[in-house]
Amino acid sequence: MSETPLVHLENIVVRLGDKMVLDEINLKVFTGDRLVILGQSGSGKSTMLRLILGILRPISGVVRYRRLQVQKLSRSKLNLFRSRVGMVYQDSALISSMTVRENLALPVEELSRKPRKEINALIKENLEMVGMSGTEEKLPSELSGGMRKRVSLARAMMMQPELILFDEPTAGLDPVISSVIDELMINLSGKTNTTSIIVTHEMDSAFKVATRMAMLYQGKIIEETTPDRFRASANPVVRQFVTGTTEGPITKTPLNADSSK
Amino acid sequence: MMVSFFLGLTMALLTGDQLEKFGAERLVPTVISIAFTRELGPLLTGIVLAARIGAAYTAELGTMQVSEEVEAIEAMGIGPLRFLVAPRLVAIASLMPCLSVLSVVAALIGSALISWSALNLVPGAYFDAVLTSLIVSDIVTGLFKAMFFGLLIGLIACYQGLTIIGGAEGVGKATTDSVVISITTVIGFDTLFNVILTKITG
Repeated sequence: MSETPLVHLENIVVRLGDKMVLDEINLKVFTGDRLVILGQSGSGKSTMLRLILGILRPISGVVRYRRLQVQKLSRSKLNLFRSRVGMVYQDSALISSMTVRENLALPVEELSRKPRKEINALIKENLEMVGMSGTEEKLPSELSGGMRKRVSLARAMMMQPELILFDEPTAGLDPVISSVIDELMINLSGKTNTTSIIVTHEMDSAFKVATRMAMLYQGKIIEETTPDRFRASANPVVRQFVTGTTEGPITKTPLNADSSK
Repeated sequence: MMVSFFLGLTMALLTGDQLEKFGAERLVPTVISIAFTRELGPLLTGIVLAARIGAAYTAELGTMQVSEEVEAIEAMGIGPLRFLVAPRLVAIASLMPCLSVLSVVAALIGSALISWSALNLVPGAYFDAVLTSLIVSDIVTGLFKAMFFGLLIGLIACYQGLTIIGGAEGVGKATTDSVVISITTVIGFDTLFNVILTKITG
């Protein structure tokens, strides 16, 4: 592909303490992609999302968003860039003291001068999109895990972002709700051509939503291809991860918990 | 207010008892009003607010930090310092002088009651003495101290909350640390402030 990638990680190195989290990572994400990044817990998947958002800085390498170099952005430009990117956290990260309406209105009220009427219309539209109409006045504590995830996705969509980052979007959810979230992610990119980077280690969900898949193992991307080719990969690590067998090269010793947290 | 009220009672009782020996019990309103306006009002309010609001700030921000809410705010492009810290600092710095005034009033009421019942000083005369004793610089000093202590408590509490390491255990530890550090710092700065002020005014 000759087009400019939306996100481009170039030779990224991240080390936390003695642990090499990301070792010379190169990755391109193009507009419209639904890239699923797979890997064991603690392999640096969430770290990659935080790098893209500029929350974490690499030891070396460059994170580009279109032609912008994220690490070199001033504070105000970084905030402007972040407003174009949505993020859905593993635990939703809704502001617990705010209602659903306030959570959704927050980025728009803080970052734009849209009138109240327009903000309310956006809230209604996004809640409808995720099937959560009628929950505007509820607090996050009154919602189930799956509902919070959907509200979190609606919040991420409020600024009509070009890119959405999903950190374990289906972790801890039952299969039905997981499928609902998967379908939301697929519909989202279909309707709005939003690019998605999805971090997960749930294979069913990954194969369902991905247009491309990358496998992170011991700080390196060892495979990056289409879902079909990923499933048929000859790489023993990928094969073991896809089949979920205990026999194989993946170490049985769990790595440290996600190092960026 | 209750703390100040009871302390006002106690101070009037003890100082009155001692001053009575020299026939100077009529100085009780002067002693109490100056002590509370310049010193004890802001200090007591600071201690109570460090325990009440400082702890709440740390616990709230700490919980938000642990549950990634702070990072989510940052990821939206909203500065956490502007959105989470600045309003809290403004609130506590504005609240402290107001509560400090209430604290002084409560202490004066408490000491007036004791002066009336134990020292035969009628409330009218008591409050006349208070108004005569206090000068503008006493009031300004007290209000300035209160505002400064409020800022200190807010800064320490927010810093402790936003730099939490660990989960629920971390929140508990940071909250305790926040209260201890705030109270110690407020008393320390109060001492420093008094030393400087004494040097300046001779």
